[in-house]
Amino acid sequence: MNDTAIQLLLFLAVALIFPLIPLGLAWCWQRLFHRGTPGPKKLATYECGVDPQGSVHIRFQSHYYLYALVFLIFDVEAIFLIPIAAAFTQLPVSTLLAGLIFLLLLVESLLWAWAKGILAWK
Amino acid sequence: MTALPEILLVAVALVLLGLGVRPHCRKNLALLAAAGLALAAGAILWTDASVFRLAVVLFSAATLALLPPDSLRRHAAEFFALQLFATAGLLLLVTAQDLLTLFLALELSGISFYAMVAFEKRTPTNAEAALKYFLTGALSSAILLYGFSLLFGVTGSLRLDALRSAPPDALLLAGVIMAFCGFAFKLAAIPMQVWAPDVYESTSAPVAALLASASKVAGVVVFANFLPIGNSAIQQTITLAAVLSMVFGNLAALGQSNVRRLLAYSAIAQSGYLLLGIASGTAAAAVGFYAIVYAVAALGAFAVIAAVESRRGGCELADFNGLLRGSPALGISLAIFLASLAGIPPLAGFFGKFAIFAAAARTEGMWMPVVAAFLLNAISLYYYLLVLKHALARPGSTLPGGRRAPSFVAAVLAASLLFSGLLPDLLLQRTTPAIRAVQR
Repeated sequence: MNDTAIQLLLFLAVALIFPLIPLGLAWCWQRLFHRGTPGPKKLATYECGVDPQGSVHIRFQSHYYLYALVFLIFDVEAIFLIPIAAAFTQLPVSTLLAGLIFLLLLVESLLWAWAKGILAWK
Repeated sequence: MTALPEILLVAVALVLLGLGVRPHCRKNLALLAAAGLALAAGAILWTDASVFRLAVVLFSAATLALLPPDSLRRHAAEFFALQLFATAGLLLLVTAQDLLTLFLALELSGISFYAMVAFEKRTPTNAEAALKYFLTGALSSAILLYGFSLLFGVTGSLRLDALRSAPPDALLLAGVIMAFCGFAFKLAAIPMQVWAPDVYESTSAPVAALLASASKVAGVVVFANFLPIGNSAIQQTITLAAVLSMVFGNLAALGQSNVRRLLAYSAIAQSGYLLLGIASGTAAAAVGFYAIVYAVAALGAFAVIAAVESRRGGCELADFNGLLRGSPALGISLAIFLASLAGIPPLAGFFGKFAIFAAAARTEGMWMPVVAAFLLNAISLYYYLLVLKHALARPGSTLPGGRRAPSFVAAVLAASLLFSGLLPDLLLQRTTPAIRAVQR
């Protein structure tokens, strides 16, 4: 066993202990202070302390994820354009062209999403 | 300009995406995708003529012919674009020389495959398979990336050759084993094999065929390039995974009644043989040879399955009854594919397995896994021959006529398998420098 092996084992041990401490505390709390009295109040849906309204089992429309995906286009674009902008005056033409091709690819994906009707709220 | 084939594929895929905005005839889109693949094949021959890259492109082209005629009513252009993206990712994977390119190629092909597997998402079984595929893939990518970060910490370099010459180290071992999880997902080997049966069973035939052929070849080549050899602890770990895959795949395949599921478990077992060859470190050329031969046989088996499904509507064992009488070409092709998978002598599968086992047996400390592989291979004969019993010996109802394309693909693949079995040197000579060139 060399040094890195011990470090690795330590690392593994910390990785295991770290999530186990809160779980263990919760378990101890449940053993020491828990009173097993389930009732309608206790089993009710937690709604920030207010009395729950209506059923929990409703259909949840998740159309919003499409907008999140389209937002990624701008997000990634910004991350990659900032280095180009920061070093703009010293860049050769080829890098500029590469950046433009990258922009074109992103623009095509936005246009594709637009033409497919993803931007219209359903 | 070695990246020319990938650039061409991505360009054609972008054109396809642009066309996808308006509805188009599916046949024209498929022809455009085929043209893109042909361009890429030409570019490969023109640049480096790597046999693995050529194989990936040809497998991808062959799967285009397997599409069921009533599939892809919507979003056909996107499907073909995804297939070209996946092919480009696999091509990059074969040639990747540093960890970052390797990961990007893995994700490019992986994300395209997630979407392709989930293409018929309205079918509950397909949705379940796609979810399993995606979750296993995401988990394995995360573990692989963590492993890569450890490897970068050890060597201080992203290059694969720096990794191969790194001194043996506990951290290196941990990094390689974590990275192995990502490759095992591509190979459908233990510990990342859970997705295989469901995905093989419920996706459309072309996607399953692509996963069984092109994806597997690329995964094998990239893992053979990546693995540092000469480190006994790493070797033992990979051998363990290989033996577990062989045991699990071969035993689980015994009880299957659905031919697609049977092929999935056989794929797990076969990746065990391939991993055994990779772990031995001396069988690189044989592994490359067998990977291609296996992929041809698996792709051919899926072509026969596509043909049977278009005629009988399912691929349970009973659906294969009377295949030889109804369509001699399909029956004989299926016999050749399964015999090659089982490793019966005049076929290419025998030479591949023989070369792998012979090289592995000469490696120190590997004789026991090789004996296990021999015994498990004998067990595998049972389930391959079971399918053949139904196809060749059992009488069945008359076979209605179906599409010609899958039968044609099956016949071509069977002929190539027979040919490369009779003259294995022709292919072996090309896989040897291909693997060595990458390892240099």
